[in-house]
Amino acid sequence: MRNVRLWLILGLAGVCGFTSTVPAQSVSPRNLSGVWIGKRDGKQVVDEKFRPAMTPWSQAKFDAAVPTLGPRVIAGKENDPILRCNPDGIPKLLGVPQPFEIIQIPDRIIMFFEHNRHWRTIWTDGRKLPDDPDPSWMGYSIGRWEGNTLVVDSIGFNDIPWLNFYGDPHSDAMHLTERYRRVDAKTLEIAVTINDPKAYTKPWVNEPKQYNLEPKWEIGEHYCVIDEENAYADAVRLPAGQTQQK
Amino acid sequence: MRLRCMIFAVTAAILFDAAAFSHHGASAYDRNNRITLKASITEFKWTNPHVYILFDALDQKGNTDHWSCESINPGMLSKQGWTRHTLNYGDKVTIIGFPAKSGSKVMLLEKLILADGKELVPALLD
Repeated sequence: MRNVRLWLILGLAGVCGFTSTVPAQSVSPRNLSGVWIGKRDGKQVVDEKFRPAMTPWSQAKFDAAVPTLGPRVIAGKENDPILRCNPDGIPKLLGVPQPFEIIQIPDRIIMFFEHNRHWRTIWTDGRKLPDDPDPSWMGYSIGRWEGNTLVVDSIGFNDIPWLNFYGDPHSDAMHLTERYRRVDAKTLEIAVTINDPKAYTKPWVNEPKQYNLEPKWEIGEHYCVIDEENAYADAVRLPAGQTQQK
Repeated sequence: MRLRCMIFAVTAAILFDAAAFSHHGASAYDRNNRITLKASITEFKWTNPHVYILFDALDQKGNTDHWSCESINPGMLSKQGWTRHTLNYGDKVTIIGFPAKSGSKVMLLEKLILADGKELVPALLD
């Protein structure tokens, strides 16, 4: 009977998503390699709950955005740049419901995202951020270890992708900081801070988002193909929202 | 405690399922109106950005309606055992899901029941 109770408690804890602080197996906390996917806990990587006041510049961009999630949706009129096959950038890619793979080699860390087959490099060879990088979708990233936390600093973004699915913008002046910490053998945590004085009056500090390790998964092929996007829009997305389009 | 646990689990599932369709806005669907249709498959679109099923179903008057029903993307469905052969032309299945608020014959898949009784519930794994 005691064993039954124990298993019941452990089972309930598992169902409720409680995580153990004891690693399930020996793994270096500085080894982030593997296929990871965000936990189904509703937690956002870039959470509007913590959003600082916007500048007039970002308020105008925010007002013009019709997102695919949240209270500002107008079905059939969404204008997330991804719907035109624009790449999602960082940090939005950390919040998509698809896995990414981290591969560590001595001088860099590479992240492969299943979503639209994007990838990025995080340089860990001690180099500094460039003075004046060309604006890009993924930005330019360097990483360093603080204890067992990988701190990634990135600049050099363009201002086209949104920060999340809710239409929150960022500018080309964004300095992004990501903090990666392996909580245990099966769990990764990423905390994102956005420092973008052109868009927000204070740094946007988010709580950590957790990711599960999926050792048996392979990163699949998922490209954004405009013909497929249009076929899907004609068959599903636009008819589903057609009354709102009138 | 059990109630709080269940509320947490259900809330998390709803939030995450919304995110699973966030590429195209699941808010277009009436989540308070679950419908069940006896479907005859006309085409199975195993494609990005989202898999969708084209099928015929009879309305209450016996007329044939042409429906489309969307799910998540092939990459995530394949991790749950789906393949491009899961559905074929002429298959008779039961489709359960949520219709578009617009009234169009478009729906969001919650559960698929194959002719042999096997149930397929697309969800991201935890």
